[in-house]
Amino acid sequence: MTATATTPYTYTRSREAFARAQRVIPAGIPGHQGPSEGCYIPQSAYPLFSERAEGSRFWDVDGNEYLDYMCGYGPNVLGYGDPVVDAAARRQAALEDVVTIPSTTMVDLAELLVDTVASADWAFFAKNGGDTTTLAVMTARAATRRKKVVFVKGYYHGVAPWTQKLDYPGVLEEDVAHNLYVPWNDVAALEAMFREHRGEIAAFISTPYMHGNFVDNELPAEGYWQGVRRLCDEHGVVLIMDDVRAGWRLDLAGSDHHYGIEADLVCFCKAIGNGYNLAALTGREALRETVASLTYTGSYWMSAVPFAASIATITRLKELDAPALFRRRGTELTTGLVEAAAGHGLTLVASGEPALFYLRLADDDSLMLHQRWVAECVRRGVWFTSHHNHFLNASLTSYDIARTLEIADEAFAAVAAG
Amino acid sequence: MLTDTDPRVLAHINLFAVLGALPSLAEHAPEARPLLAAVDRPTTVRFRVRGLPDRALTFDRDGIAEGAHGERTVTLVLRSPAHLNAMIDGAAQPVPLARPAGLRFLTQVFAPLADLLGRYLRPSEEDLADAAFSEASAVITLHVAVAAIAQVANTDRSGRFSAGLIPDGQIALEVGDSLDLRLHARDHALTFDPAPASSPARAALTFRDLDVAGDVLAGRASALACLGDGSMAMRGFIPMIDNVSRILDRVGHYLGEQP
Repeated sequence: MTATATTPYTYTRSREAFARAQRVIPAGIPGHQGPSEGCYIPQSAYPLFSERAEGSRFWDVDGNEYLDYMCGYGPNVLGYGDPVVDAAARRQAALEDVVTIPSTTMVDLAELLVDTVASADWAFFAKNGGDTTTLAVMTARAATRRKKVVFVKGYYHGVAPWTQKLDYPGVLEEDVAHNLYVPWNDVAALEAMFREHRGEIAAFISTPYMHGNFVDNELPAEGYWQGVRRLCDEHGVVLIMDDVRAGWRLDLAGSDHHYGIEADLVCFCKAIGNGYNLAALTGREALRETVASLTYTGSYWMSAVPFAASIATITRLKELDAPALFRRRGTELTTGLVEAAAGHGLTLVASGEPALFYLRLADDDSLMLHQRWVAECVRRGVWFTSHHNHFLNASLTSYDIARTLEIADEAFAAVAAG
Repeated sequence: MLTDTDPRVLAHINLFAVLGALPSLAEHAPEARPLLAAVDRPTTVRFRVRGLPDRALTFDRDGIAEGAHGERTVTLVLRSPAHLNAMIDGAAQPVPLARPAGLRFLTQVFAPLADLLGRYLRPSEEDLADAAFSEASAVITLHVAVAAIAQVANTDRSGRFSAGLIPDGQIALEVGDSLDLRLHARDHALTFDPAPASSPARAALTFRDLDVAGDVLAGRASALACLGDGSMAMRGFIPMIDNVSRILDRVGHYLGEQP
């Protein structure tokens, strides 16, 4: 990357590809990696298709280069195309991948997870984070023979109907009839909810901290998780930690461990395989037989290549002490961004854990200023988002951070100029 | 997603959004002017629907306005929300309380204007081929849609759920640089304010032009696809737009074609 002032990018080939996509794919690019849910504001500031990726960077189909702070929305934890992980995947691929019976590589990974994740006595594999949150709720309901599930307001646990809301198209009222909601960080509200629905609540499901979109992310208050654990024990409620987003970046022993408790079930995906498609639910001994009793499987859930990639990923994360690295890098980056904003008379708020920092320009409450700044960054080669927490990967260097700060400074100048 | 609809919510939409579009019709439809020219003196039409708030519109030669400030009052009595809904569908008649001149106003001015409104809200292919008609139809439809969003947000079970997630502030629904219709959110209730915007919105959903607005509101184009290709855009505090969009979907359950 050059160290001089950047020329804002153009996206001719992205637009051409999107026009093709719209003819054959509903919405062109549906979901969070598309322009609507991805909050490409304005849409013209963003590319739509990537061509290649390496380390902390990807290049779009017009050849524009980006320092990527979304990391594929989390899976890229070591760097795109990490040579150690890719070599492990290639070795396994040369042997087998999807076969009629599974590879013992699955057992190797389960053993590694049980050894690594503090609360894990077993592991069950699937493909996406939502597979594991659904499995966790089914397990809790089967174990307790109760219907209701308590969510934290502002939650996201995937896109299965039970995770959505009354007003979402295609979701029936019955799908969400047993969902209850409490505010984040409010043990008293949770206790009141448990008392009001005594004997009816199967599970409490939450991310380790509140990393909701469009709002400053909030860490757990002192004693919050201990209070939650106590209440779940008192009321026989299964405590599900949705560690899909934060997992492997805060604490390799699990984010429940990071915040001083043991969850009953922990959901993992995203960073578990550095981009190789895999998810896992881990759990405590008491729930082993329950989860074994469920009918829950998928065509690709025992493919061996992602298992091998995951073993290599977790091993490499341990060697690097990646959570400590992410904390250092994240603090270095966010501190620099906040200072750069202040240099232009702007107030940037960085919240959440440094490994998954969330940014917001606090100078207006509409986020329009923030959206302009993020768009200026993207058009100059730094991929931030205006709505979502970010992700770090271990290949990010101090040079990358310095270049990020240069581009961010240019973008702040563009915004401050009006 | 609720799979059923509530006749009382539909009646709110009909009373406040559909009939509420009569002032916009008078402003944008050239055919309304000769009809209004027949108004001999300002006349208030009061809708009295059991179970709903009273509603009044006043007609004079210059146009149609909210409120009861006419020199003559005609009251249309409807025994239930369902009766109002049937009247809007053309399947029932209200009970008019009026003197002979008032009855003449109903037959010679009000009824033709109501028919004209129906034509602009459900235009034929032939009508849409006329650029001026198509543009006016889109403007009036947009007024109905935005007003209906407020009604659904405040009275429908799904709408109230969505509105419960909308923080305070103004939401703009814009068409290019020419139209800026505002919803005001306060304490999770929405109000449609047809007056010109006087302060910045906290969130905005923008249609590139009236053609796009008309296509999206009529269900001929997908809002998601339009956001993707840039013919629609959003900015600001997106949860406000997201939840207004969900309410707009719900409006479609009431006003759109049934599957």
